[in-house]
Amino acid sequence: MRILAIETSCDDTSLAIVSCKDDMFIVEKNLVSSQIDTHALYGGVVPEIAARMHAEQIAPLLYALEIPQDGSTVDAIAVTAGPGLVPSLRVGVACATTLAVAWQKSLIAINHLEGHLYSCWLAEKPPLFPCVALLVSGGHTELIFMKDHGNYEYLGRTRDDAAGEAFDKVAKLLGLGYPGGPLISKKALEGKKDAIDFPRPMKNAISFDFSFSGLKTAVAYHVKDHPDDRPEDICASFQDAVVDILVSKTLKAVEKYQPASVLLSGGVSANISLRETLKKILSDRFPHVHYHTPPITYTTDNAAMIGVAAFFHLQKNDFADPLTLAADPNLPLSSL
Amino acid sequence: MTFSTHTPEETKQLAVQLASSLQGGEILALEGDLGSGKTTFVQGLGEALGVKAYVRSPSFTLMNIYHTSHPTIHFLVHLDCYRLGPLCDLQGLELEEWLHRSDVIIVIEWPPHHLLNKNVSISIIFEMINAQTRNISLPLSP
Repeated sequence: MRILAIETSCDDTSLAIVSCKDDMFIVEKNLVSSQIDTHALYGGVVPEIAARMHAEQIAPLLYALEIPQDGSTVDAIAVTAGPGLVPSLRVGVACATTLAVAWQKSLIAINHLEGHLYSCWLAEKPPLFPCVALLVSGGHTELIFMKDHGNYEYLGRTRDDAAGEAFDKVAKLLGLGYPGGPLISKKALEGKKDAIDFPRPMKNAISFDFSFSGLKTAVAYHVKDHPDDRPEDICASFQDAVVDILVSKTLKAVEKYQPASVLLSGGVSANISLRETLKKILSDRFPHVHYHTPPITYTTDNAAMIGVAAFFHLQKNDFADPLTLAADPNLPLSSL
Repeated sequence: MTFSTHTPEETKQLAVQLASSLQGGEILALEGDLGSGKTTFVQGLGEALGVKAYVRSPSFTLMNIYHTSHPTIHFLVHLDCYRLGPLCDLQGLELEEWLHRSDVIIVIEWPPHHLLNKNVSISIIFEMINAQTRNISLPLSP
């Protein structure tokens, strides 16, 4: 079984071919064309330009996959249908539905968040259910309980800013540039994480919800009041606060829900401090719980994870109609 | 008129007061630095209009649409052009669908320059004075 997967929900155009053999996923090809440089040129993301760039890049990427013109080497087509920016999503959906009709292949619509969860199936061993999943990216901070494939229950979400958004905005406050996550974690390597005692909003609340707006604001006035502080120390202390909040909440969910596995995914899961801290504390306190996080390549938006998620929809015969499938910017993560 | 608020709750309360004077169809532009209370203010507006969901930052999603439970204002459209930059145009977001409708309030954080010149009905300026205090200027009698 080989799936052609397409992902265009935000700033990256990505196409992949994923196959499955003996319950193992093989990413035969995963191509990503990032728009970060172009958007930096305009000082931000422009929806219309983002969509136009997806449209320009998608055909060359499709050719680069070297699929025969009749699509004979592909068994099904998967596409991100939402959530995301509508003009961007539409390019991927239009491409996928057109190919599905022309090649007469099954079409599978995937939720972008579901794709991130399934990026953990690209780690060495497949996770065991039930799972507690922490999904952290520029637009999302979610704790999800996964009892089985396609079975999702929200435990908590951010009430204001996403964790990745906090990284980006703090990087902007410090004049570091975009995207903020990698720049902050690099600076943090040379800083003292206990230099500044930043707040940890909602860390001890009973709820599994998150809040990062107050932390961002605390950094904003710290920078204003202490213009001579080393940016390295601010980065290290800020990152430590974010990691502390994320790890504490995840552990609390592990205590309550007793999962077999913990999943960490999304763009912020590329943060080494977060990956390592969660791994260490889990192995100290819950040695029987398996820990899964995708290789760094698959933490940011990519089509390979969309292809993996599609396999599980395929097994349940959950197909989309190419004549009616539409991009949905607010597509909820719903159980199959 | 400039108001000083000292907690996020006070900032929300100011939004609740403004909400009672809204007719529907207004466009609110919120300007101010990171952390000056813009999203907190919109959360207060959401509460006043009866939005049941949490009003989250739309910095990444660009536009969030909320159902309200207000008798005449049925939608709160929350835009954030932080990632777009001040010179952006909003083409492609299909904002036209929501403009000039008496059952819609549109709130824009980091409003692009071209919108400020003609379309905005209420302009609100946020200033961070210190850790607690925010000065918020808006057309509202004390």
